[in-house]
Amino acid sequence: MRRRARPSFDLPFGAALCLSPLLGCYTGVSGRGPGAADDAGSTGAAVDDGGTPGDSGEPGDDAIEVDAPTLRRLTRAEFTHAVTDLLGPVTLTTIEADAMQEGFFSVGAARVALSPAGVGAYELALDGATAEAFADPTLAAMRVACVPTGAADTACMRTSIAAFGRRAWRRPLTAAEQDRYLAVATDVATETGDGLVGLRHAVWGLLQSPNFLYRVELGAPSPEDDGRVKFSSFEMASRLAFTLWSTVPDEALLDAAEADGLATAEGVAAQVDRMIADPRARQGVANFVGELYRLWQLDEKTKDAVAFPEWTPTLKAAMRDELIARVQDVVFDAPGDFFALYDSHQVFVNNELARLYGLAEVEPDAMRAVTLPEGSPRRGLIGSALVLGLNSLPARTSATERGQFIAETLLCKTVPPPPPDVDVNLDDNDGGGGPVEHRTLREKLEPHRENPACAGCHNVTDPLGLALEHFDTMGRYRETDLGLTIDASGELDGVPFVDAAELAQLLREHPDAPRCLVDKLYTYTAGRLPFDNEDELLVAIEAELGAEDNRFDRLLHAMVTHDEFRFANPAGSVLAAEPSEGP
Amino acid sequence: MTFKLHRRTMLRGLIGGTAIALPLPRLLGMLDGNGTALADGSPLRPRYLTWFFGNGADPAHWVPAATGIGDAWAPSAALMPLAEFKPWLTVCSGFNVVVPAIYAHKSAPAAVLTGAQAMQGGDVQLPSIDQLLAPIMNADTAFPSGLHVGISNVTGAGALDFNISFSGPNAPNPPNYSPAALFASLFALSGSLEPDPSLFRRKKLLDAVSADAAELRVKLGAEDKERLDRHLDGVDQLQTQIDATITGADCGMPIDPDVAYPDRGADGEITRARCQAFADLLVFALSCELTRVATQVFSCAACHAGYPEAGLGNVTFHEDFGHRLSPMGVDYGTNGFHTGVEYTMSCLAELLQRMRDTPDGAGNLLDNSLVYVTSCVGLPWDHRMDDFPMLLVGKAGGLFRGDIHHRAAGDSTSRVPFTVMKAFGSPAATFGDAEGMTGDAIPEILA
Repeated sequence: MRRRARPSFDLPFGAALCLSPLLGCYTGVSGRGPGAADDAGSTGAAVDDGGTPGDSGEPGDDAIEVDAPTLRRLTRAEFTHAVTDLLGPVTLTTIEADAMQEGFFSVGAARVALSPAGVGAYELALDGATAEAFADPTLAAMRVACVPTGAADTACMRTSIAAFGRRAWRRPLTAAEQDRYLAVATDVATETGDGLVGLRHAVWGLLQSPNFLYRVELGAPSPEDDGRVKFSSFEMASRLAFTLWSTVPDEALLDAAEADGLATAEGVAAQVDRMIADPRARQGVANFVGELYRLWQLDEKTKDAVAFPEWTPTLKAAMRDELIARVQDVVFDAPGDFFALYDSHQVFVNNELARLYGLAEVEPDAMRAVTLPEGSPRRGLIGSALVLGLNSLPARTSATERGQFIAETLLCKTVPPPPPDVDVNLDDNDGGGGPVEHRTLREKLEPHRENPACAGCHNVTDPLGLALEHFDTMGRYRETDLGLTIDASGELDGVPFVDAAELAQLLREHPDAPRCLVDKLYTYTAGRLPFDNEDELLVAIEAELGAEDNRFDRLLHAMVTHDEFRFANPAGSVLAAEPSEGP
Repeated sequence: MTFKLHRRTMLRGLIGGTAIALPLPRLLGMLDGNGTALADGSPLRPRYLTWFFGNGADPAHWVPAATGIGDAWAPSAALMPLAEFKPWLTVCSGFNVVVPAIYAHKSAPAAVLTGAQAMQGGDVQLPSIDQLLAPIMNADTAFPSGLHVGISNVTGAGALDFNISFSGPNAPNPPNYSPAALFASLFALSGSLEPDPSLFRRKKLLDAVSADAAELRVKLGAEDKERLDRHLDGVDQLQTQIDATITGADCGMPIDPDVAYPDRGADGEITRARCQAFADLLVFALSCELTRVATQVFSCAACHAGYPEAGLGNVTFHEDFGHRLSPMGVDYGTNGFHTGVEYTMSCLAELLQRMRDTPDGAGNLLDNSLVYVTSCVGLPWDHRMDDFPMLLVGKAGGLFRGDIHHRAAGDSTSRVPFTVMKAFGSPAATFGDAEGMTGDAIPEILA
């Protein structure tokens, strides 16, 4: 079986990750600086296709083969954004679901194949969307360069197909491709006697083409760059637009590509500043944090309707809007240290969310920034209703899920799945019919932390999650848990904290937080986990983030202007499995 | 200008010899005198469906008390909703998932569907049973890779995503949750409509898309080629369906879910009416042989949805009942879990009833089909993988005996799908991989 540099956590429980009581699940951030190579089970483990664990305990025992750049199918969000940019606000019927891998749809999009039924779903969605956009000449004129005056207006159809095709496919059509879609347009125009209907069919076809539905960014070997695979200017336009805007390039970016202006680092940098200042960058950042914090999962999140009648669709929408508003604020509206997000006293509320946060209602009822009082136990991202509510169960909190969010999403610690055959029963009584004796979640979770099979992971997750026990399953503050005193103290990497507010501060200051954010953004951007040999690059990007006062817009800039974003390794390049940096 | 042609004129005049012939519905008139083979002597081809429900079953509630054939055994409490289908029922108990329990909620469903271990990131290593059968019995239908529908679209602890059908690693066949969308597809294929000129326009577009794909394909690496080829399978399937729409024999009309079940609940909700709507449509498609392979996921592995219609409240069935974490206590959790499983089986009964009541050849559709019913876990509160819930319903055209409770002594669950594979004529000598591999069928349950 071919070994590839596709880092993976495909390690069975009880294998490398949790065998050592010293390492436990606490593997730390992959490949981070001196000594990182000793972290068995860090993301560099070579794993073969069959899912059998690689011998990750001995880095360097295997050469690994690098994947060539791969096609990435547009995620549902990218597809929706792109179609909206191309056709205006149209109704789209359901297309095939994204696949989540390594925590990101963007990674699933690079690995998982569309099903045959999914092709039909695209055809149907684009049928409706193009019919809507081309319903009359006035509407169509907003979307194409030229609206045909009749069935024989071939010149106009050709112009429109060329311009629409360049935008949709992120490159000019070849002569053969133009002719192919012009033939569709003229055939249908002749049959129906309507040039606009003909053009609409050509557009419907252009959008069903793999050249639209997949990001075709394959690069070509560049002799002046040691044979490395270099992305063309048009491929760079596509990479920049999907990374920064979560949609197709605009005309200005394509014009820059047409002039081969994205072949150099300087040319790219010039566009990147413009793109980050563009409102579409907000869409791009929202899409990244939407995947990172799993905002999509809120839709299906239910709470016990009797105990938590406040859990309504409108509350959920407010929770989601708040999280996006918090991020947009620190990235765009008042650009500053991104990690202020982790311990900020500022929340955004409408009246429904204000009630949940115990804040005053105001008129008019609109989303607004409110600063919580100094000393409030609610601080930062981990105090947001979204993080608290999403990582909880219907009737009660989950210290394990909340702790896992902190450990995995904010600090990039690896928490493997639980072992099978576990007793997950945390109920107060044992069904014996005796009087119910209520216990705190901390008490109920003690057995997990005492049992060696569970302790490796629960020692990571539970102390972090238990710090949030003052917030119920919806994220509402509570003084006690059914009358029992809540102990929210704990420690993070040996540093003690007394409550959630102190934990929030520790997260903001945690030395792993910047590298974790870099790794997450890199994974999202590349559509794969970082390779071991990219550690140096990630260290450099982390340094750049630090030098730019931890500003996320500058991190985005660094992420897409480094040389590696313009190049890829040729397929089959062989790398040492060992991380490349010295001791 | 639009024009309207008579169906047969269209067939002869516009596409002539390029039209492909699709199977006609299996009406008695097309069979030989005994109703046991097609008129041309070729054997009847049975239909296959996987029916999957999440969160397992409690063997104490699921496994019938007695084993044996016919009067020797009676349905358990969990299976009482299926009692009227006892003549078609094969209960396989005492089978254990032998693939190591590496990933909670993944190893077991991967084992019973594919015979092999799951991968944490890539879901499965091998094709699922329905996709092993599709190439040998479904290639000449309108849906060569089968029809795949789902009731609940709620996720399940990151299990196998929403999927139970896999053509291979990273190649799932995600379920369609919309009865209305499925109705539209089947209605177009039913032969009850005059073909529309737009069909020919769609074919032109798909030809252009195929040409694009062919040009792109030569630039791709091996894995991307595979992914693009699967995309092209979908394009081919659409072309086939358009041809079928043009040439298809009249199957009558499928039941419109918006008319029959206007209040069935949103796509993705668990309601009986949604089970009924999909049951109507699946039976139509299988009866008309628009496909001979289908899957239905009632709820995904470790599904977190609730069963409000079963009186179990707006909570996640997985947590409150599967793990008995209901604030109402363990006994309430146990009883509620049993109630939920019975409700699940009553939704399955909606499909079985329609299959039994649909004539097919000399018998009915249930006589000529096999439904493989299974789940993601055994006893859920301990994540057990032994004494796994496994049923086969139907006789697959006389291949299965039916009306039997066969109890094994801890044999591999892989034996059940392997038996199905062999009965349906697969030349494969084994099913599954590594610990899950078997070449051992279960002769006792075959006719």
